[in-house]
Amino acid sequence: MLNPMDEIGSDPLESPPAAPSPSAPPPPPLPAAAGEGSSTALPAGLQKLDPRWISMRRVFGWIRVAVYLVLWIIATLILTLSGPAPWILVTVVGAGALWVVLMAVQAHLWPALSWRRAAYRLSERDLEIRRGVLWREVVTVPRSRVQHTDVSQGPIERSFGLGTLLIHTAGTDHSRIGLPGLAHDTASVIRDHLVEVDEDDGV
Amino acid sequence: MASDPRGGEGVSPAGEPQPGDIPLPAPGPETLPNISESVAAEASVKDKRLHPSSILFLLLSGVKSLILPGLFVLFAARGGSRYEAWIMIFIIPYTFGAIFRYLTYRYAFHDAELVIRKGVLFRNQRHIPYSRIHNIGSVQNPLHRMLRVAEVRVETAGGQEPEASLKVLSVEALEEMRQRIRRAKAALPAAAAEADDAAAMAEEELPGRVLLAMSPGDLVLHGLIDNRGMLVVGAFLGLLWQFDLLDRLGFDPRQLWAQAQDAGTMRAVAVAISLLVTLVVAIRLLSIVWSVVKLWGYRLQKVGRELRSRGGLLTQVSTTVPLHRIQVLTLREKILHRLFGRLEVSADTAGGSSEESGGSGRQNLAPLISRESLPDFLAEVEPGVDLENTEWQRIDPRATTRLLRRGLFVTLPPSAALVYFVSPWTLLATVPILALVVVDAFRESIRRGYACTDDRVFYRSGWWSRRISLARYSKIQAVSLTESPFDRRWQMRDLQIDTAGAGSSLQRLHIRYLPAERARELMDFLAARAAETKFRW
Repeated sequence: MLNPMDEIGSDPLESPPAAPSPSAPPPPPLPAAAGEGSSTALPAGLQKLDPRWISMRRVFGWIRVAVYLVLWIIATLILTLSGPAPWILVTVVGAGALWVVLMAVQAHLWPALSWRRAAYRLSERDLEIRRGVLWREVVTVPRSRVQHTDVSQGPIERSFGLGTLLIHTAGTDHSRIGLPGLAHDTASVIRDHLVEVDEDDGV
Repeated sequence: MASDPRGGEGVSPAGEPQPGDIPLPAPGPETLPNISESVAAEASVKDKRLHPSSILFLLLSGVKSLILPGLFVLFAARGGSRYEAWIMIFIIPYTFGAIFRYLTYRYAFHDAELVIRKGVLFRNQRHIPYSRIHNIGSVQNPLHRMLRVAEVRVETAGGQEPEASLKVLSVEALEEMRQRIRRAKAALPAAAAEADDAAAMAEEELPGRVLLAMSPGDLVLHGLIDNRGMLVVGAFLGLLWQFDLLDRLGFDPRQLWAQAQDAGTMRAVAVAISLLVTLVVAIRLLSIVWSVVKLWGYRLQKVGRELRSRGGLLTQVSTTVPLHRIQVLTLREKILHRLFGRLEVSADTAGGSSEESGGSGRQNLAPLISRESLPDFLAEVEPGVDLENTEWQRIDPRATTRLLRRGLFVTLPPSAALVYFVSPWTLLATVPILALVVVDAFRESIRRGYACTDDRVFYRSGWWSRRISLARYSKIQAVSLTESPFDRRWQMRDLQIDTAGAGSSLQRLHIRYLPAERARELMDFLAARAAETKFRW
């Protein structure tokens, strides 16, 4: 399940059909470079997300785990004070502890897994976004269908220098497609690029 | 005029601000000359008011929202008549509100847009470019018809709510609005409405062609097939439940059942069966009544490049759907449809939802149409579609196995449990069901398929209850592939084609169980075709 050595290139979603896919062997091109100075260069080919996204997601995950932990402590205290049969105490507290530990493991491992799976590709014609670990998805939005785009940045994202690109279409399921984990500069560049086309095209 | 900054502020959050306010040249350039020539243009920019009876209808709709709470209060405090007095008090602000709304509501036909102003303290001015208007729908209940007025909804793309809801206009004013907007659209530069569209608008005064007129017999059939009876019954039961009326009427199914059982097993079974049959028949009858009331005299006309429908016994609903606003067309053929050689045609439009469409912008263009007249109908609505000669591509043949496993996974354990715990006699029921699951898996996987023609993509599914959906490439918004762990094991993908205003999952273009490679090819193909066409709402 966690087929660890998987790189994007071996992604079955990517797989053989049209040979043209410029990404048969994974060209995981320098997300780090895209991060800092390259604000004008438009990323070409299949791109991975900024690795800082992993750390950011871990921060989110640890915050969640901290909340669970506090809840667990409170629950344990209440339960202990109300004095139930020992086996109930042990079972409930143990299950809670196990849950917290599992969440902690998930909080640490999952971001890396989903980073490995996530990618995007910007071409003249469209924007392709891949995401998901167990349930995977590839979305293609033709650039002429982009209604407008936003770049959003939450406080934690800001501290990591990341941003989320939101693409709005006239569609139903995909009326709003998010591409998180971009260096904020890259997100802005892509946004400008998409908007450019929008003007040419006139709906 | 087009410059009021408060325009749609906070008013049309669901409205569609995006699709390029830039490319629409009409409001900008046309506005300026209009100000300088405002005297000359005065005649066309005169503010109009709603019909005076609006006060009545606004009041009624206010009261309507009080009815349920009012009833609740009445039921909760039976005997105390002062509560009725309290309710009366609530009506007073509504009265003032209604009069106030009537007095402050104005609309005007400018050169390129419909301008609606309302409110005094919180003023609100809304500009609706004619080129953006999808539908001028109207609703007339019997009271409306007595007073010769109609509730008018002006719909644009995207919004869940109509862009403007004029409650109420006289029938003449409605006709005037339709004509003015039509003419204005025709007169607009081709940038706003596409050229052939404008031409069509101009030639459009010709009498329309009737595509479908439903006879009373059709309505009965429609009611029979389209089982809305359950809806009515459901609402009715809900109401009974709400007010504990069942208990009050002394109706207790358990008691009935106990009585019947006392009388012997055969009697009990007979009672159960006859109750069931009565219920089924009653539901179908209700459904027929519902159809007749809802669709009485339904006719669909093609006028120029618009489809217009009108129908309804008590409340008459009329809609206008420009042909090019149709996003996805869906043909549905339930088993009963097939028995009678009929089917149902509906369309997703991106416009605001109309009442009878139930939420999404889905319009039932042809609630019931015979198989023979379908080709003619399609030729008018979706020219170029030839279902007879469509080359269907099958989904992955291995889908049979997956469908079979899924079906058995759901049905086998309960069947086994029934046989083991209840009685081996349940085999009489479970064996046919299991057989049906097997047949379904085979037939379904053969039936499901897609087709790509020059300008459209088709998807069909269902062998028992069939449907075919089709969309122009230019209406595709996004294409996606999804892959569950199961899909991965089978090397299959789901392809989902997203369009504007897509309705329930039953009519979406979701092609499941495609071989992975072909799914990827198809996605690239569709995305390319979509990218090279322009999307116009």
